Amino acid sequence: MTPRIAIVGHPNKGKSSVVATLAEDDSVAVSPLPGTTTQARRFPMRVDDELLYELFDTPGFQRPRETLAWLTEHHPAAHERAQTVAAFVATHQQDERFHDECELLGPVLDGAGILYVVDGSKPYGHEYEAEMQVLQWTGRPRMALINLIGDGDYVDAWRRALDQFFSIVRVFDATRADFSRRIALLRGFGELSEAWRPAMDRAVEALTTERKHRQRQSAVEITDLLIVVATSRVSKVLAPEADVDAPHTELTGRLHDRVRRRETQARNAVQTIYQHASVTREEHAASLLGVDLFSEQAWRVFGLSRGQLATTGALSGAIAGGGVDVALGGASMLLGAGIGALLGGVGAFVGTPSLARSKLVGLPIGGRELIVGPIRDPNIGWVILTRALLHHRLVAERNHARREALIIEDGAETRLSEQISAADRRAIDRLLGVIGKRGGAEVSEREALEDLIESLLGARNEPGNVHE
Amino acid sequence: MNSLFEDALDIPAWLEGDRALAFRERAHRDRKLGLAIRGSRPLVRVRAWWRQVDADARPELGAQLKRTRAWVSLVLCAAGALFGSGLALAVLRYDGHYPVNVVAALALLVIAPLLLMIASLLLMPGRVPGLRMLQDAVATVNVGNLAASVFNRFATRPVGELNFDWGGSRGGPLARLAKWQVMFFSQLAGLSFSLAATLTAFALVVFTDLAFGWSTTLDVAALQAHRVVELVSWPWGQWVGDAVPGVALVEESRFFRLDSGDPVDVAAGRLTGWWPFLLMSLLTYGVLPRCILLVVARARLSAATRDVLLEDVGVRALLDRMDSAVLDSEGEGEEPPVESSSHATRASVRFADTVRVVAWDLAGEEELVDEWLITHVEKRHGSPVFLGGDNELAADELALTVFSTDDSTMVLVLVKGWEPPLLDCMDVLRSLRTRVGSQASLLVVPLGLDVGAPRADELDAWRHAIARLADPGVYVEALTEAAGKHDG
Repeated sequence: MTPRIAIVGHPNKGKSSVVATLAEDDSVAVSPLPGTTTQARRFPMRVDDELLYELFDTPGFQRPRETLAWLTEHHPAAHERAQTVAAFVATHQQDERFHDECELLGPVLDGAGILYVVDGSKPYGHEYEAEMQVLQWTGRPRMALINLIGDGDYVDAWRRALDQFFSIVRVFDATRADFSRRIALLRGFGELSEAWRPAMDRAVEALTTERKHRQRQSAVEITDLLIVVATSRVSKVLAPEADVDAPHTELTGRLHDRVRRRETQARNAVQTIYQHASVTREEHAASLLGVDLFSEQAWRVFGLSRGQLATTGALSGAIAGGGVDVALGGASMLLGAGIGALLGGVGAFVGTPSLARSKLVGLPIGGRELIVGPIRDPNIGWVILTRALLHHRLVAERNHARREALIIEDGAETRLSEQISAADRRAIDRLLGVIGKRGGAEVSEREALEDLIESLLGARNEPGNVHE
Repeated sequence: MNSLFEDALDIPAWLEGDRALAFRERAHRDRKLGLAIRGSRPLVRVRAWWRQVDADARPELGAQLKRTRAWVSLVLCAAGALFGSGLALAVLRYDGHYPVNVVAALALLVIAPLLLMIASLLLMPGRVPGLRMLQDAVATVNVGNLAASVFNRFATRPVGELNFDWGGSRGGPLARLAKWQVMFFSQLAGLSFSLAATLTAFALVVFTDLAFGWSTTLDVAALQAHRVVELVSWPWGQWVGDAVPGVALVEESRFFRLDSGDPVDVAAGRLTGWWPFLLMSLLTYGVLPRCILLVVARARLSAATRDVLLEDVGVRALLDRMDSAVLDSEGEGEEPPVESSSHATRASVRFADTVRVVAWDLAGEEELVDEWLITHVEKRHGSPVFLGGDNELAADELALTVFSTDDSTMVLVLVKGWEPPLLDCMDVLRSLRTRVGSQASLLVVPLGLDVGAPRADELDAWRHAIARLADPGVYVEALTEAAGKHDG
């Protein structure tokens, strides 16, 4: 039996926020203006197309007293109350005046349980009783959720009132609820009906697995970002007489751009992993100005340096000269090999610039190559890592009911950095050092770094204690 | 079907562009394919996925590089074969006077290539601390590395950091790919050299008459030379006995060019006895190790190519999507557009001499209402009429009967500012309008918590709702103390 939950209540009490949070759906319209939701909308939760539960976002009550008056007017016996509610909906289906009531009661009459949402930061009022009575008339399993939209605290008064009408009452901050609270709420749905428990348990298990999976995926992205930062370098072939300063500045800019692009790409990937792809970010780019970079120049012909080319020339000359020695039956006393090596080596060394300018099939076969990077400053890796950890933390804890931009404050990563243990620091430093020195990561190093980063991500997103 | 090399370059490139597609769509697409693809090996799964995924613009980078690589391989084979054949022809040249010197033939056709091959083994472990200079020197003279440099220079290169020459790509799977590509090129050239030299030697033996002897300046006794021959022949000595020259042949076939007369004083037929030894040497120390190394290099190149594919971040994410259940909890259909708040700004209301007061949904908040009235309204007003709340509709109707067109030109409707305006309230305002007539003003006053002013968004919500009534005589004001007491 598939659990179905209709989220109902007064207008503007955060019903849609609760749905957006549980369904991880940024498309749910959330607005401070009451009456934003005008139609019931279905949110099926599927794991590989297997339906585990359904949520229904509904409009708020608009004429609860009149609805209750109609129901009581038909004063059926207690066992016929649900049918009376159905009769009310059938009678008023086409009546614009009761559009919202029909929309919200529809899923309930179709077998959904009720999640009644109130705002615990505002005082309890008698006007709520009519709608609670209407819900009571449906006879469906009911849970009340005290949402905390503002700063006020009227939870106790609400709890006393809600206890009269609902079997389960929970406090839940829809816009700040972390993963553990969402899981606790879903488990609560399982308590509404014994028949729903297996499906809800499976849903919880699937979500928990997915959560761990997201952390791993994020760790993979962040690891790759760090490796790119530690190993990136850019190069440019220069004309022999060209000035180096301008190309060096250009290459430095290109290297910085590459690092920033990869950082942005990693941010987007992490947000996509947590279904927050559409959330805008407010973050200053990592400052790389003045960062120490490796820089070198080399003559290259076919990718060979001048020295390597001279060695090649010398060896080639020696072999050619050796051929002459063989031809002379050793009478030349290896003089051919010696002269060949000398001529080949010196010729290649002296001739490299000219050879570099030569063209083959229209392409220059070599030239002076200016290489900039990788970044020499080990602190940059830490800056990038802690910024990524901070971003992940904000994204992983962010609620889908929130609509404001993701603000990553400057300096916050420093505080985060201080929370990393010395052992983890040493291990990460060592791995980044090795990878940077070699210019790339072996599988074992990459996996070790991923494991470390995953543990750092997990440590900051462990489900906390659930308060009910 | 594409080669692994093509897939290793094309799949990551395509996945990079695929990031533009919504994650949900990618997750469903890849999971669906993942469930349909049999087999658990990541490489098989990824490549099967690539064959089945509906990709419009497939990259051609892999095919281009594969073609270039094939050309480079072909040229290397040809160059190796030419060199091997040419050298064999030169070394085995026999003009009928002096026999072919087996020592020189072995040195140039077997020992020198063997030394080069051993040198190339230095490149196999990758960068070894302490051997860097030696490795660079070996790489410099390595024909495979030169070929890789040419390939690297003229091939259309991927966007990333892939360089095919030794040390061009730094660290990680790309470096491994580069290293084994160099090794593969190197062994390919070496094998074609050895094969061509062996075949040429064999052809010369078959189609011409060669006479072999051995000659060296060194003071080597025939017995010592035979020991060396036995040592060299050890791998095949047990099976091909004819290819191991005996002591007599070694002794008889030594010659010195300074000697007058016939180079060697033995029957010409005996001097042909060296050729099986020479051919077996070429096969055993030239062709066979090159074959083994080529197979190893090929296998390692495949492994490195596989690593380039499977260690790519995009491919790893793809495998995750294929192998993990898709959780889908988003809403069905489109969310209706949110109505924006709009209401005309109205001029401030003027208080009449007498006002009547309605308190909507404020049952239980009598003290708040009284306090607010004392603070804000000095006009004459009767007791507030409490409507809404837990009143039944009939009770409200009864309470409303106290209003008529005669006794008031203004009704103050106090509401909870922190609660949203319901249509229930609008119904009451319409009913009130009917009773007090069209000339009377209805001033809706949202109260803030604890007699404070309502928040701007709360006031906005009430104004928005009242604007929908389309009644020009209904106002929404957040009365401050001064506004309520003026005109007294």
